[in-house]
Amino acid sequence: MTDSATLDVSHLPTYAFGRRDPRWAAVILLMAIEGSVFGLMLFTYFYVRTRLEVWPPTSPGTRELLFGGAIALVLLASVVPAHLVNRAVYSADLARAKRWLTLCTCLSLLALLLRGLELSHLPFRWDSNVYGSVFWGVLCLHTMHLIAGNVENMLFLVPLRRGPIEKKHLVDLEVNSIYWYFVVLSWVPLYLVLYLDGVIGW
Amino acid sequence: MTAAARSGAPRIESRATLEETWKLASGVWGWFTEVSHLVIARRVIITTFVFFLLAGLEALLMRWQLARPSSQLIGPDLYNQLFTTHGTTMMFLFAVPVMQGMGLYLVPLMIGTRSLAFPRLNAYSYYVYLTGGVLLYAALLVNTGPDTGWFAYVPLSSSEFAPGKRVDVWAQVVTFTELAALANAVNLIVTIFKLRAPGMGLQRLPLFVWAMLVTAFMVIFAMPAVMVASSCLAMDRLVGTHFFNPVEGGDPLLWQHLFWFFGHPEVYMIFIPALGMVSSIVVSSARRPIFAYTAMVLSLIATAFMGFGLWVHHMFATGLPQIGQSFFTAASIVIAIPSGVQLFCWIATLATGKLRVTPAALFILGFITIFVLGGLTGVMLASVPIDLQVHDTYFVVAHLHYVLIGGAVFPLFGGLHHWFSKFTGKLLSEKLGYWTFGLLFVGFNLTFFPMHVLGLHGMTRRIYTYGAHTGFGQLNLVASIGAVVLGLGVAAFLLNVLRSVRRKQRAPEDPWQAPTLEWSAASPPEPFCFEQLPTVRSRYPRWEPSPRVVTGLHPDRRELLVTSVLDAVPDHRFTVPHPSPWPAALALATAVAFVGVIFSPWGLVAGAVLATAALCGWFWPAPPIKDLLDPSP
Repeated sequence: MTDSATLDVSHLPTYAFGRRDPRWAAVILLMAIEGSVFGLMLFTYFYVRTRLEVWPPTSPGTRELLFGGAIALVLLASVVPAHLVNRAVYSADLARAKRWLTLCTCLSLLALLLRGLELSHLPFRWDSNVYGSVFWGVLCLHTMHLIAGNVENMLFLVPLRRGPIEKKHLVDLEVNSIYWYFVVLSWVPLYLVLYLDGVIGW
Repeated sequence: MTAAARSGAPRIESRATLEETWKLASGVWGWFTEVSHLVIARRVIITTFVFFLLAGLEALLMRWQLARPSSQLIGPDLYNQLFTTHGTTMMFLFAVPVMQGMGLYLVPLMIGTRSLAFPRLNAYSYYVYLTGGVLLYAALLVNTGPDTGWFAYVPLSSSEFAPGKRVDVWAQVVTFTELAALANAVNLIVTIFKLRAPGMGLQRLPLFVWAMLVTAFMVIFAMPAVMVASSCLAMDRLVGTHFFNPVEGGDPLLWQHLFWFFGHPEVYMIFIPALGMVSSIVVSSARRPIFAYTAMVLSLIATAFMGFGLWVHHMFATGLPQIGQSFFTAASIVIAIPSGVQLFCWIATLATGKLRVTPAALFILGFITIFVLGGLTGVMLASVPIDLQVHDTYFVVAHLHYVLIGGAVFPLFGGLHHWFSKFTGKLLSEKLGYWTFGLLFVGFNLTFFPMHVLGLHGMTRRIYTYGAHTGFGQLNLVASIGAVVLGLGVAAFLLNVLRSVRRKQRAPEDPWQAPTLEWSAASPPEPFCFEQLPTVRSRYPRWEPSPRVVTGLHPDRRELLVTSVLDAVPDHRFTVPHPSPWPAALALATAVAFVGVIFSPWGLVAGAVLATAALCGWFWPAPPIKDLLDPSP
């Protein structure tokens, strides 16, 4: 039903995945904003690093190195179910999406638990010196992302279990996984800087 | 109504449905639930003007105090609060948000769509911004107004030298406004990239939309710096961290780096949208296409990139390595080139077109004059020896007002005269418009030109008084008289606005025969903006109209057409939400967190819990639920 005076769009779909959807673009921009914040915190870290003669004044210790490493492993493992959520979403298989999102949430909760242990065992406080401030600053910033990611994952589980689910929510689920990748992957450089520099030294 | 006139018989039926679907919320409750970009953006602009007037009154008070030597009208403590609140308001509560407000209103119309991509995010951003502004003025009223200058340098702003809550208020006001600006930036970028009318490839984007796009990207990468800075300052003050405390290894200069890494781009966030307005007004005043469109776009992008490489020129007096200073001097001079390119393109366009003189066009000519002067003192200040000489003097005050008022406020007033009928459905009186321009132009130069001289003679900024022996009295009196004239100019504008909105006569859709799509919508636009979405086949769609309109969108849903990023090829349909109370609720939770944390770290926790609850409501599938995937998942 097209003539020269009209451009009929009624045949077009009501949602699309990946970069075609506006929400995808929004989450990429969100990651750009938060990536900038992480980058600036690392800038702060290296800036104050040049200001102290002994760096680090108190080393976080090997146990902390292992906690952080365990968090990295658990988080990296959670990327697999997050990816499988998206595979399920692309074929609109809600049952499978629910299963994988549950697993992903369990892993992310485990990571949060480990983060709690990590924070409680640090041998210095945020007000000990500037090293403590920036170390805690980076860690707490990432923890806030971890909490936000967990809340988001759990919020999505509720409609998946109880419904109703609209078609557009499939894209929300996809975008949620993409954001989770960011939360996970941002920990890798932060971990390397905080612990390789703090415990092992460059 | 060119689009409407062309459609066939089903039009009346679908128009009624469209009106029902896009109906604005009404009543007091409706005020808090409305999400239409037309309503919210108009609110943003009005709110920014209220803050503009308040900051203007603060400026008048300061000028009253400085009008003569040894004046006892205002004491040093109140004076500190006045100049800090004036600067903070003008930068954070007026300049950046008013430009975004213009973009939020005009961009969807200019690109031929019905809404922003995320209308609820837009509403949320407005409430967050409003709360930040109210916090600042509530604090000022109870004698807790910030008093360490709009860039709150440490150690002056550290808890040792600034006990009490004044600086905490400042830090949180900044956090509120940054959050609002970031949300708007995301909204604008996605709207511009994904919702353009079919055929409006990036090469056909109106220059104002390009300007808003470039600005939004600057916001995305610059605002995080000030959020990090203000959060670190707040933590230093509230939980005893040492980011800026040199005794424990911190560094006060870190504050300056973080602040100016945001602060310098911020100038361009204010200035670049103004450039977009200038281009729009130049094209419709000269009645010809812009000269060298591609060069104009590249200049905007170049300005944005270079804007990130200048921040250290605010820190020349801090004793940085000379090689670094040389680099930033060079960068600060180079950025004059893209501005110069645009200036010559406007002059070429104006000189070869059929110029129609309107108040808007006069504001553009005023802009060119004042901005060139401000740009020249900018090039002077980029030179380290001159900068060291006049650092923290009235020369800098003169320079910054020449670039900000000349570079942004004059184009903004031009833009308001140009688009007023699109906002309100009424035209502004031209006669009063000329009066406004004349008073503002004379008043501005009278106020700020003498400050160059005062600065060169050694009058430092931020002093509440000066002795008669300094000889500063006469020029200060001239400046104060100029401020009154400037105030009269603003009053003339307000009078014009009030008289116009009360006038019965409605403005035509397109009083200027302008080329861009916003002039195809009614004045003011209906809530759905376009009855049928247009398509585009040139940069100037109203001068070379495309005969095709879009059909096939569901009129019973708030459906938009998503197109591809580069070439704007139709891709899919996207539904935006109806009015909702959750943006206001989430903003309230945000306020609990940001204001609460001034008094206790638990404020953050309380706010986070409330925010989670509000987000649950926000994302909960709201009726009418359409397109169910599976009735019983």
